[in-house]
Amino acid sequence: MSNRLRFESVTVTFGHGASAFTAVDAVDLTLEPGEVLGLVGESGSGKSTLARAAVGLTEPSDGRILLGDSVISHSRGATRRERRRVQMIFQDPQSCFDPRRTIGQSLDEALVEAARRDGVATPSQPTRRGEIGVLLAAVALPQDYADRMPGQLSGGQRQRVAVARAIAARPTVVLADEITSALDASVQGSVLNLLRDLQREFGFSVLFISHNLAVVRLVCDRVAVMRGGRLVELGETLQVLERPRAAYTRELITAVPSM
Amino acid sequence: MMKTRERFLTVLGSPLGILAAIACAALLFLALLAPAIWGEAAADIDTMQISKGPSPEHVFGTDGSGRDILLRTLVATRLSVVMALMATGIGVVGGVLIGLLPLIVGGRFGRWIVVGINIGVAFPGLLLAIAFSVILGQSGAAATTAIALAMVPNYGRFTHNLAASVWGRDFIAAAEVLGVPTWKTAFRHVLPNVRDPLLVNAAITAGGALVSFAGLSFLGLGIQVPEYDWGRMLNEGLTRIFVTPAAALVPGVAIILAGLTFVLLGEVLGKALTPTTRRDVKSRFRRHMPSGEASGASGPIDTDAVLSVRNLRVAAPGDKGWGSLVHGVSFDVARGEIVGIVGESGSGKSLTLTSVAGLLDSPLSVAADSAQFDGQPLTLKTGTHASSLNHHLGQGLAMIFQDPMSSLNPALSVGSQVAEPGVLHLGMSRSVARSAAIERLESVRISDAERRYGQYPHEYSGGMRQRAMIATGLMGKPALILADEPTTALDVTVQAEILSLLRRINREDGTAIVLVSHDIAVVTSLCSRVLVMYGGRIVENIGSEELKAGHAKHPYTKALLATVPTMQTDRDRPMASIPEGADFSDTSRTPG
Repeated sequence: MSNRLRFESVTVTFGHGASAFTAVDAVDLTLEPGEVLGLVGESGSGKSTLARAAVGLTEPSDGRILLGDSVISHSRGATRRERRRVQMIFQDPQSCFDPRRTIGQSLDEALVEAARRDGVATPSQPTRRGEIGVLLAAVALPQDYADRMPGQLSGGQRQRVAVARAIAARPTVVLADEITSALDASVQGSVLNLLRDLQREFGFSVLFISHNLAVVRLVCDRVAVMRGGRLVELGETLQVLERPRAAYTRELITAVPSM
Repeated sequence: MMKTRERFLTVLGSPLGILAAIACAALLFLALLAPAIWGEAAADIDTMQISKGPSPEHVFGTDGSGRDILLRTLVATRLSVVMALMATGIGVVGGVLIGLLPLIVGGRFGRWIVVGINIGVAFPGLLLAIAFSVILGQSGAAATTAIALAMVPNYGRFTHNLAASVWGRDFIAAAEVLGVPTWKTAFRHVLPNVRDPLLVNAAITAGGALVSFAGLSFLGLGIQVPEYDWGRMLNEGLTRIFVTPAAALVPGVAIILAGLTFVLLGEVLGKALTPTTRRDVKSRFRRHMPSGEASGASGPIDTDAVLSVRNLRVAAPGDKGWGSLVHGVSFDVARGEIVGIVGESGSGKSLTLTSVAGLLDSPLSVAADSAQFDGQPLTLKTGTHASSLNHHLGQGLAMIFQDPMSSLNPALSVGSQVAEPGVLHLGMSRSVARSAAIERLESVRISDAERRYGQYPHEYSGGMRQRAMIATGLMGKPALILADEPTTALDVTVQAEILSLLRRINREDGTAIVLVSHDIAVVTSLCSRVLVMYGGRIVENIGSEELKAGHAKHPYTKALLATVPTMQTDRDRPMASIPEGADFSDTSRTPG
């Protein structure tokens, strides 16, 4: 129960008056515990804005977001800490790590903040070092990578560390925002397999944002389609992709170049 | 790319560096030791030698109290330099804090802080310093505080601009999502990433502080008797400047030299901390490029083809000589054919295309055994592209780039940019070019073309901008369109439209197309023939239909195909990928 992420009539508007722009328009969406929900749409659909609202990078202008029974939108204090159970993996492997800190330091930061959030004492340095080693092994990277700088890793390796950082925070929900769009097709599979394996092992739910329908079909249990800030279709993946009800979904499917 | 330490040592070895090192050492020596060595002698009042000119005893003469000018100047170094550094230190710290504050506080209050900073910047620094000094009183401490305060707005704005550019990056958002408090993010993540320009600016600001200090003391607002700094000496010496010029000139020159020292230090830091593109002398002597091993088509130039290239090589200078990026690529494009070049990052596909278009510049180096375009020989060599392709540009050859945001000039109307090839290359008059451009915009299905002609790129969507680019290329009747990832940055529905537009142009006008993409599905859907590139070589040259039917020969092609998910891929198995470090370069290459 406490792991369900719910968007209740969430609206996100930018700007005021005549130049106001509605990025997300009254979206109702529920991410069930342990499921992988795909969120598909083109530019301007609002899918990224919706995800950013869930983690607090932007606040809904209307409606609310709940994690279990806590309202995490517009949160303060305790609920703000609850919000940190929702973690995010970003699209651009180039800029998602501080170029001046080692991989180990970036992972360490996640561990320290997770402890702070949970209200437990910060684990000692050696404990954290050990934990970092475990995390790197979980994403199939060698232990000595903890001392490397982000610039020394390839894009695929950096995304794997990004996955490690997200799970270091012991999340209930992971939002994966176009995490393989900037990667070559040849490394995409390894990152996504990893995410899927970790999801099965730790049981967090995943909101998988992508514009690539073929990938969404392989990775997700259910799919939601957004357009112009609105939710136009929602259902089981195979249902939506093989028997779409919305005209826009059909348009998307036919536009995908096939071999 | 050199590391900071290496760069620092290189700069220190240069004339600038040596000069800066000597100057800093001299200043440091004087500031630390001059009062101990010459302090007493400088304070020696010789009433017999008041305001005398240069003599063997006093190199630059004496001042109004009979004291040696040179010695006083040397001893005054400590106070002048120390106070300048203190003022700079306080000003820099204050500036950094106030520059980061709007980001930490955020929201409306943060915006008001920025407004405050901007108002502060509007006042000339020296004016502010004088005003503060008058308020705070006449003393060295007051002057230091005044100059520091006057420095804060400028330094604050500089810090804020730098910090704001870092603030939008994903790792800052990541820290916020993790729950790192905002102030901690500012000091832990932002400050180290803007450290270098801040340091350089601080060094140069110290020079300015020194001069400001001298100015305040000269006005009587800074150091008071019995202490003295250069400004005070200027104040005392200026009244008799035509009688004993040395009394004012010597401290004046000292101010200039010390100020220059700080600026030199700033220059050295700037050069050492800024990564530079490799342009050293060594690369100029290494003209001899690797000869390359041809892959792709074999045999002599195909004279019927619209484009024919033999043994194209691209290399970049590295620490150990030339690094080959394209190892000798040969291919032909028949008239009216659509050829795709597919590959991943590092395969050399974009370099191949841009070198044919003659767009590669030093430090990259291009060479080819032979090339031909539209029946004319083409010289593909760095530096000669301008003349050999001039004849073709805007007429026979068109190019479309990946990023529709940056391929159109945002300051000019779209229409004028579409019309430009008509005016420049086709000898059309402005009005003829305008109607031709409107016709082209219509032909690429931009509705309401007459009105859209006058609009600016930001008023077009990404897909429309790509169409406008295509329209620009179609002004002359091109025999070949080079398209470098034209749909990668576009939505999938828009991509479908652009691909169908290209298909139509090829069908109706017989224009050949070379399409570069990392997306093998896009390439096979549009192109009749596919070249697969890996590690700077063409590893496969195969027809689209054969590729789709699974007749690829090279292991890399097969591995690549396996990783591309389709709507039919088996959902129950893990996704295929090529393990990092897998090397396909050893396997035999298939001839064209």
